[in-house]
Amino acid sequence: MKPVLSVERLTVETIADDTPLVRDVSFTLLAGQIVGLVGESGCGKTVTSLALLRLLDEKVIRQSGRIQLDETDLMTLSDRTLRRVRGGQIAFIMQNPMSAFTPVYTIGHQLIETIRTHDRGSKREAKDRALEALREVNLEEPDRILKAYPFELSGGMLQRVMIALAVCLRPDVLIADEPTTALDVYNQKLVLYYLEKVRATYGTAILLISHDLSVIAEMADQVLVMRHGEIVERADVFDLFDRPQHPYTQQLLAQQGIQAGGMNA
Amino acid sequence: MGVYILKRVGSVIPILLLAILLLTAMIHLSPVDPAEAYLAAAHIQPTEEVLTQKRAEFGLDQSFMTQYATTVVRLAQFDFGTSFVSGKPVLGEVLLRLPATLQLALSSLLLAVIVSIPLGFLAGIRKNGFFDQLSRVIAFIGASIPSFWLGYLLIFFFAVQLDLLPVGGIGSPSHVILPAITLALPLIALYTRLLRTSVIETIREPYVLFARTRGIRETVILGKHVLRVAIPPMITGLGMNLGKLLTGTIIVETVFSWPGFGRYFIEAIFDRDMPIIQGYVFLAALLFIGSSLLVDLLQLAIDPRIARKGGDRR
Amino acid sequence: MNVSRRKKSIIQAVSILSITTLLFGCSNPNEGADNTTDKDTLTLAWPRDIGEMNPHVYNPSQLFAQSMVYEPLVHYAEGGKLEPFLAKSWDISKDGKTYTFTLRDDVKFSDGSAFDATIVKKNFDAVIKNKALHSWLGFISKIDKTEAVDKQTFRMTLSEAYYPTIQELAVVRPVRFLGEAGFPKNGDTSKGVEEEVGTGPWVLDEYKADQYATFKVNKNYWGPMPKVKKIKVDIIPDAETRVLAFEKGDIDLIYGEGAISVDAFNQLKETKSYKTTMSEPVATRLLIMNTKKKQLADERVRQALQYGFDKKTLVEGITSGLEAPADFILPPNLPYTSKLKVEKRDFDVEKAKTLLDEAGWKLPNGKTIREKDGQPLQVEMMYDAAELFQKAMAETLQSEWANIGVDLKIVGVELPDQVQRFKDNKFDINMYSNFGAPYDPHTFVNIIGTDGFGFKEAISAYPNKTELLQDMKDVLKTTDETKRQAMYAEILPSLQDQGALVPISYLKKMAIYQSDVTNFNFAANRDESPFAQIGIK
Repeated sequence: MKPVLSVERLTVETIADDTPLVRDVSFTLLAGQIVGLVGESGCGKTVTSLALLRLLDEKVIRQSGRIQLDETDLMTLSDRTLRRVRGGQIAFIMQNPMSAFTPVYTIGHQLIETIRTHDRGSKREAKDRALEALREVNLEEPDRILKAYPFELSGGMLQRVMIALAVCLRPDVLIADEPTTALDVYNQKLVLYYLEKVRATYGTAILLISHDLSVIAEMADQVLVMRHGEIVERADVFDLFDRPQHPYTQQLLAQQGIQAGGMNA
Repeated sequence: MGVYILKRVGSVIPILLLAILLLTAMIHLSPVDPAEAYLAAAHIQPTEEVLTQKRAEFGLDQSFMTQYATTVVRLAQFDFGTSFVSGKPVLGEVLLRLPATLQLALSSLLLAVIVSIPLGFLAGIRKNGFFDQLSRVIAFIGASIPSFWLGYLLIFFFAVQLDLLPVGGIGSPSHVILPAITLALPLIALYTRLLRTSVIETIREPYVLFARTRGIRETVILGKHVLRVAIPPMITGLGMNLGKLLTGTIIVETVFSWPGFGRYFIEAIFDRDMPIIQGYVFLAALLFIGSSLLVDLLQLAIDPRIARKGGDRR
Repeated sequence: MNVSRRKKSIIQAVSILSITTLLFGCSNPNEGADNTTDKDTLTLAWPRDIGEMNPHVYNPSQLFAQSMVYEPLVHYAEGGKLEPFLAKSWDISKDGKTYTFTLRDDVKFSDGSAFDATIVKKNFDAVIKNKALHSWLGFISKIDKTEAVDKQTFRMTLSEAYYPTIQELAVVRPVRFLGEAGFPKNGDTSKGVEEEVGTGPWVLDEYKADQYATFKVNKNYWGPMPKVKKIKVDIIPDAETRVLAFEKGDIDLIYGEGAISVDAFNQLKETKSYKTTMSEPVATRLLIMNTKKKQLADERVRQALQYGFDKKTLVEGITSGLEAPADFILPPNLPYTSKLKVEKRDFDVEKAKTLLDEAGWKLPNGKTIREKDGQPLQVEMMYDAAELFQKAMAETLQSEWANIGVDLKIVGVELPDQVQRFKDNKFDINMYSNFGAPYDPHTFVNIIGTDGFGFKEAISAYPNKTELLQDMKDVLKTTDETKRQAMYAEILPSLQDQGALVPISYLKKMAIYQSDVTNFNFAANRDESPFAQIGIK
């Protein structure tokens, strides 16, 4: 099966003093696959995810490698074209839902804004799509939510809104950067549930970034372990948890209190 | 809402009482009393007879507390007394000149806002870019150049040398231009930098990044999302600096022969015309409340979080 | 949505405010403002609004403007001559108490009504109603009776002889004449006039408070018609702005005391594109020494201080020729002040030092300030901080007197404060200037002799004080011209020679105007307008 996203030798360095933030990272994403990117905070996971969307400040960092999305290398695209990719083909879900939306505009405003950026259509149509998306993540009274301001909704609801938004444009790839970190246990479960639903319903490939191994264990098909900007181990999820090869991986597992070999289906 | 406004107005009453107390005290403590000042200005030798008569006229022959109490009672009935100098009711004198000052102040404010918003915004989105450097220069000039000097400079170049604008006075839109610029410059200096800082901070916020991940155009992100969030601190700054506008009009009105209340106030000070001075203080207090109220209402309109929550901004 | 509706209404409010602002700007087209001066209008700048055109009130009405509209019975001319004006002649009774005026019969007010004894009496009575306010003008509190004897004859009786009456009738306010239509029903003009009706060559035409005022020619004027049709007064409070407006050509003339800074005046003068005029001396700037203070009680010290500074250099250096060194405490062009004999005390440092030594103030070894009984010779001079030359003069005196071992401290105060301190005798040396024309010499002498003005106490160490004070009271009552002249010839030099009053310079008025302005002449009366025959080429 041809990969939806193929990253080859992605390297990100600071221009000022050539400090490598991400070094030689390569991986692929297949349709409907969930790849987990795991590592401690600061190891370069977010940098990687932003690099995929070419959202890093190119005056400060230097980015090289190939980012193949279907037929196109994203590294060759103009900013204008890239904008269509962002949100339209690769969607992003942020870590802290409470600060993801602009506080002075309603949810509805921002949803419709996003939809109309990518698809021409009337406000009416966009609104309908937004409503539908909200219903998909089982948010009650979607009308009220559209009229609400971000500060009026809880973290869990906002996270679901983000998912809804991410999906309503039917992107090929969804990057979820620490989607559960800011939530309580109940909402964490909900988020993961909907992510899975998205994958199952639309075949979206998901790059799931987390430092929380239990989340990775539950969701991912493939796992990439990142340390200091490099991928130190890559494996099938079962293999990783049963037989972690790299000492760092073992260290991580131990830190989070997970016994190696304790993965049962 | 009405209750809110009433509460705000009410809170200023103790301040007003204190201000009047201080003013009355100042007359009492001043080595020169208004009666003498009047006579000195009129080139009249202050004989005992004339002095006594004038003092009685001005109510200066009463004890300090009596004077204070009389003043407060008067003001509570919105009777602002009569000018020592012209003998006409203070309210009339004020209302005659107030429109001109308001016109000048509002024009300057408008100018300041119209210039500061784009300049501050452009300065903020591109740090150390051209507009940022420009805003820095303007801030420096606006903060250091005394307004009367700027006024003279502008008159000299535009009115005298180039003969494009009038030297002073009021009448046509062309009369407002130079005084408004002079009055607006320190404000522009301040607001531009305020907005710039606010913009720089706002751009760093997560929701700006998120908007980018959604593929929204950068101009829309900056113009809509960033600007909208960055403006309120500038508006707060606007409200807090309205005092600058008020005191600024005193100088600008004098230099540009603008027939407003600021200039009249200065004359009143030299003349020791106490009722006018008191009237000005009262008016200034009212303007302060009014403007800060207006600013708060504006904030309400722009930032919905205040309306619905009344709490944290970010 | 609640918020967006509120938002809308606020935006509406702001837009309405902005539009009103702009409309405001267009709603009072000031045709005067960008009027380039044309041949028929003379435009001048004045720092304050001209005030109400009422002949019987003081501030904020401006003297020069009042003098354009309202005229006196008697005119004060060059050299202190008192000439007939609205009164074509007058007669004073032998006891000096009754004044009978014969009025001109060809004078009309600007509204066509006749000027006669009835209206003269009405005006006098309105002034008398406020005796206390006008008590500064000597004769008013002495008026016993006023009578309109017939249409052309007006008689006034005083309670006692007071010779300055005629001279005092020449001043700009309050004794000038308002027409019948101007009087309020109760005859009390102190609160305002109904119409500004005067006999003068000008009539108030347009008036915008704090902005400008225009005067047009009085068609019914009895005297020589003015050469210009209109006079416009632009109110420009700032001195620099006045200069700028003048340079631009918006105004034809700047004149008036303190209207223009010396630097600006000289700068404009040097361009040679304008014309300037200086007046005759109008008053004297003098030092008043408080003889109640120990150091100054000794006449030798006072004299030494006079010998101790170079008057000519001081005056010429500081005023750049705008004032002239003064030899007399009153300018010699006032009535009774010419041909006075005073002691000349020119710059003589050695003489000054000798006098101080004689007075017991000696210079200790190695010190710069003289001492007597362990006390340093310290004196404090107060001056009007806002006045053009006073500060510079005080500073110069400080350094000059330091040379003779006197420590002069100088302190700048506001005018009302200066007046107060003088009155309270809380000073060592005061910089003073007298009223001058047309108020002196009688007002000067009167003030010196009256309690509570500061002078009487200041000259308390004069040995002939009692006589002098009595003479000053008596001279006002003289009915004999010759006796009067003789008395002044004694009083004034005596005041001056004993050193408590030291003349420094004569004040002059200055004016600068565009080169096409003709016939600018200062009036002898320092408060009157100079527009009598002014023209524009």
